[in-house]
Amino acid sequence: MATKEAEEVYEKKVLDRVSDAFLDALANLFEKIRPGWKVRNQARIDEWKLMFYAFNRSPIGMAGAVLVAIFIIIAIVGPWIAPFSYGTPLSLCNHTAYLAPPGTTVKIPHGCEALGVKPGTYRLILGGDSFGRDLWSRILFGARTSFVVMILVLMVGPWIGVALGLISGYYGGATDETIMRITDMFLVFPGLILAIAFSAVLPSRISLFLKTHPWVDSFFLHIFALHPSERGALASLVSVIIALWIVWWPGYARLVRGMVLSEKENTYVEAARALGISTGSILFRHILPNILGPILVYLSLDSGGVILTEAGLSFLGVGAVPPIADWGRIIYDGSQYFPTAWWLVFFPGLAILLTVLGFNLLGDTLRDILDPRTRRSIEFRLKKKPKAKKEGEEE
Amino acid sequence: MRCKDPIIVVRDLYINFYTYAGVVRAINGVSFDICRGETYCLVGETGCGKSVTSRALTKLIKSPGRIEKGEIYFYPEPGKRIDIMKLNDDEVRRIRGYDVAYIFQDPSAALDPLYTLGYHVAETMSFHGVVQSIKEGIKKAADVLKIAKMPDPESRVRAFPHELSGGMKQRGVIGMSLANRPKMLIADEPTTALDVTIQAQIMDFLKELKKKENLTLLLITHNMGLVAEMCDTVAVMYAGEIVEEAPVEVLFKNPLHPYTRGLMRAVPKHVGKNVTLESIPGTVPNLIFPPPGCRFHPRCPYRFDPCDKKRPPLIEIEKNHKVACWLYTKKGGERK
Amino acid sequence: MAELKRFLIRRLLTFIPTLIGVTFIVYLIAAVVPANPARLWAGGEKANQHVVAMLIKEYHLDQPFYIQYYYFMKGFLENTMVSPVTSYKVWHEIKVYMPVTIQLTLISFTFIALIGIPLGIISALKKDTWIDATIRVIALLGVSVPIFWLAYLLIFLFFTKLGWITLSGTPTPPYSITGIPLIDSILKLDGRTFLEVIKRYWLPSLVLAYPGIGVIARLVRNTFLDALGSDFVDYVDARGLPRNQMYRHVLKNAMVPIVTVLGLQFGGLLGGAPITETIFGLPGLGRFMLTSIYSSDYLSMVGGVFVIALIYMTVNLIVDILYAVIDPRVRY
Repeated sequence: MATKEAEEVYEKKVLDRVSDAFLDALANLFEKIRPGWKVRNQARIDEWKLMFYAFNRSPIGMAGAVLVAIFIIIAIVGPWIAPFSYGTPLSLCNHTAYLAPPGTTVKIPHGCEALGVKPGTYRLILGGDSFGRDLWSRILFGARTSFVVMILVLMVGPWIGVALGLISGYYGGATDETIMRITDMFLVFPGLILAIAFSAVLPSRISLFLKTHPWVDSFFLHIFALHPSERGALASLVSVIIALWIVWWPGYARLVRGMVLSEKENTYVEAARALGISTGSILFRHILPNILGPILVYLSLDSGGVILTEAGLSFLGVGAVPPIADWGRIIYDGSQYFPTAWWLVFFPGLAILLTVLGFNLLGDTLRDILDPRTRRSIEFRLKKKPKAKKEGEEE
Repeated sequence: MRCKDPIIVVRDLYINFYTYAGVVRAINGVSFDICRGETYCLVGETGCGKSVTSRALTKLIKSPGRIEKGEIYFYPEPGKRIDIMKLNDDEVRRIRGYDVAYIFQDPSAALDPLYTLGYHVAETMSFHGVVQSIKEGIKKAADVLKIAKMPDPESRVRAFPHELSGGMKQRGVIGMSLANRPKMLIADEPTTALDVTIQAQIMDFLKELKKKENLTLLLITHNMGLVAEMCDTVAVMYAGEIVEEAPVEVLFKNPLHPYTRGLMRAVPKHVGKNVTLESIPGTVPNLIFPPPGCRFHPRCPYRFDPCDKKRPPLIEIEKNHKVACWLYTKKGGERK
Repeated sequence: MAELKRFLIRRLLTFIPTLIGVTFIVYLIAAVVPANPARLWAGGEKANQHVVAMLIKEYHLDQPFYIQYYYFMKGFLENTMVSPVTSYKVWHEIKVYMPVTIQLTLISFTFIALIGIPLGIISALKKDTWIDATIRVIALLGVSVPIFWLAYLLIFLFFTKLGWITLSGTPTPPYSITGIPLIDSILKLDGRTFLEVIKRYWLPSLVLAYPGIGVIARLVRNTFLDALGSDFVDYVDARGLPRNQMYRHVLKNAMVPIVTVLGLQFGGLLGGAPITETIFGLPGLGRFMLTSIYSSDYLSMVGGVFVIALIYMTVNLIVDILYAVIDPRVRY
């Protein structure tokens, strides 16, 4: 009954209907898998609907979602829609492409087919670099690089921390002490410097490994959208990913340990233990789902952090190596021509800024919405109007 | 009007909370008077609006809550009337903590963990001009704590909240609220967070204090035993409305509202005998979508035709005994 | 006081295992991962076999890595360890580069505290107004902007267009007390040197501080609002205390998490130093470490790691002491 009346109170927007449909579909799916799920979780479904309404009404969250969506779409389709490949040196065909300012029109004569460019007139909307490579194309390819690094880092690094935090918090005692001391050692040291060190020393080993494991090699080649001839550049990218795994776990270990400590006090853990449920099952099937919300918020806030750090590493020359298109690296290479060829610094930096900003806006809003206390204040502002009428009717 | 010399008069008070899930109509047209010198009790289940009502008396309602309408008058002296609703923030602050003092449920949460008890007492006095400075206040704090029967008050002045037990914290809070010799004390479940032996001590002490200082006490509780022991007049609240109000003996002898009866049955009367403890079926309704008509009707065993359509008015059945229930109006009387 | 002394001793003792742990981890990575460092030091592929053999002997590279580590730490602490790449003693290099980084981070830290905290408080007090919105955007940009990009934009503005700053040299006064010109000039009340230092460092420090300013402003806003919603603040209201007195309570309570995060920000500053120092041409520890890494000079690098970890732990120790000063519940 309560939901029915809720529909009267909320002025539903189109987006609300979309999110409702999505959640209902999800609920029906669960219902199919486990009959009776929907009735038992009705309150939870309603709560989620409310959370989506709150999100739909947060301009900040929407802006973040749009920026992130653009980034992800470009990262996926960018390599296909780019007018040129990331490494096509147009200045070999026409010298006007050399450090061409944004908007320059470049005429490509016959005889350049070897570079994969058909003859014709092209407009370099964001200009060209010192090899006459099209900056716009390189930024599109760069999105793929950032995105893949981000996903691969977040899929592993934080979860090492989560697992260690779960173990540390649950077992306590000497296990806890050992894990936390090691965590502290990583935390007393700025992660960026550690990552620089790792990224610098790892490539030699990694390239050896890639040579002996061709399937790993071609896997990375494909997801980074690189030409097979540029295999050699892979090792440095993979090193960055591994370096970021190593520095990205300690924070999560700390965070999760703290949450487990407070979660452990709850009766449901007590009860599960009394029922003889195995420790692994308690940790991963009972405690983890309960602390997943905050972890996901941190992950979304960290997505921007990973992109920023990766760009920083490339900027320092330890990440992506030429000719890979990487935003940080483009800035590093372009900085030699700064401020004359300002576009080589300005546009990739803007791309980083907008992407990271998107993740931060999204993460901020998610945090506000997932926290019941702040959620209240969000909707307080949206909801004054419909009430005035209702009061009259009630009397 | 019930009292010849009221200290508080509330008329037709409405308070809403604008929360993320919708508008909570927390207080729905509450009216009552408190006579000078009496102990007035507000009873009811958790979430029925007792605390909100008491806080509204000095406009202590924070966003997202808002007092929608209503009148609140405070009489610091007989015949001198102050319209609380017309006061601005500064003016009402001068009344709070000076004329009308509060004691909240959880003393642990009431004290700032970073300041000593002495500082708390001193700041309460100093900003109401009872002492000239915080320093002077800290000197006098021990005397104040002595009134609150704090053991070893001199050293407690320098103690931080985490160094005090729950009972001592509550004594500290009571001392603090009495520091400015208020005319009225609002005690919001003052002993719920404490253990049983300390509860009794604190209540005895409040009783004694009331007599000595000639205080008016507004006591908020869900403990019917405490009501019987402490109160002169009782108002029973349900879902943001007063459903019954009567002198304490009358109410215990002749409870009229089905909800009041339910509350009475939920108290064990004779320890040792076979008494079945009853509970009222159902829970306090969701006040975002309150039940239409009488808010109690979904849980009421006697509900009949008008209950779910029209709200029953609070009418006086016998002297000083008011009830809001269709069973006692002319139309409903036949059914009884 | 005796308590504080015991606390300090206890904490300083925990420095030792942590420092050993950190340097060991870094040493392990740096020494074991690259193949044949001696050949790299001797000049790469065309290295003279004789020189390589000498280097292997000198740095015990033929022994297991933990023995290498032992010799490295011994040499480092006795100040006899010479970098095979620069031919300077590692400590000597650190001494040369450290003052720049310390000045850079100190000024940045001051910016974070002096700009970040007030911004956060104003934002909380003006919650949901355009002032709040503006501050939140500024703060959010701080945590989203790549500082190397920001640095270039500001260099373009202040160096290329306005000519207000220089990008080379660092002011060094003729006297030296602590070896850090900023602190020396304050101690000597030498206004001219002080201003010179500020003139050289303000822009790099500001760039380095911007993410920290963003973090702190957001944190201050949130903790301030959190404290504003806590029960004891309710009770401050219930006692009719004036608004400023309420803010006093709120601010002091908000300080506890703020101090902690300020300490953490110092780590962020040290981490950002390599980038800032590189762009602004400051010869500091961060750049020193970068060059060591590029030239496989892992001995210098581990030395730098040692010093940075030491600085960071000291800052955290100070934070913990402050913590106990603010919060009576915390015992030394």
